[in-house]
Amino acid sequence: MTNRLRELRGERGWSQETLATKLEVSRQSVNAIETGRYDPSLPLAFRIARLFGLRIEEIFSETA
Amino acid sequence: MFCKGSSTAYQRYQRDVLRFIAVYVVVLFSASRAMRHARAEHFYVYFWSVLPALPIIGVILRMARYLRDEKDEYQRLVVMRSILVGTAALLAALVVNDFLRAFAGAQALPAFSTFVLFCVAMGIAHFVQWLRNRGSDDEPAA
Repeated sequence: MTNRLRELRGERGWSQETLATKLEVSRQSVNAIETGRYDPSLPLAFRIARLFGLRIEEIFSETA
Repeated sequence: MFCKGSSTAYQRYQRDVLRFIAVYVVVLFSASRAMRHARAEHFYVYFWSVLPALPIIGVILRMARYLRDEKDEYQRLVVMRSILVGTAALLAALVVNDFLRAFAGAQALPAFSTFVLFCVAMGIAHFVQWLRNRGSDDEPAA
């Protein structure tokens, strides 16, 4: 799975720490999701989508 | 090292584990001293032999409680992977030692070594995951 988390975070000028605080997770979690080493659970994916005001599929997509 | 950015659940877990280890050290030395004067058939021997295992069991139960309390799913996954590696390393060592004892007349693993082996393997697994997640900290996003 790929995601646009880094891009969306960059558009808002947030650091990983800021995004982590907003999502109530650790910075390591944000880093692992951004680098594709960890795919978040559905509840966390919904929290991310809600924070950016987008649908899940606009942030996360299946890799071919 | 691992505390920076860790969740409060993980920090509480680490603090409690250190307390259990402190209790373990005190109980182990007390048991060693007490056993010097004990007679083998006495209930006293069984009591002091089992007592040092209790703080270790406490650590194991505290791990289970941590996994229940941790709200950060990625951190929980990191600890679960570490526990799995620790368990696998311990099980592999015990199985190999079993066969060595059965067929090659080897000695059993040294006393007090099983939990140490588990902790070392778990620590290495945790460290490797920390190293992998250390990079690309907070560089400007694209």
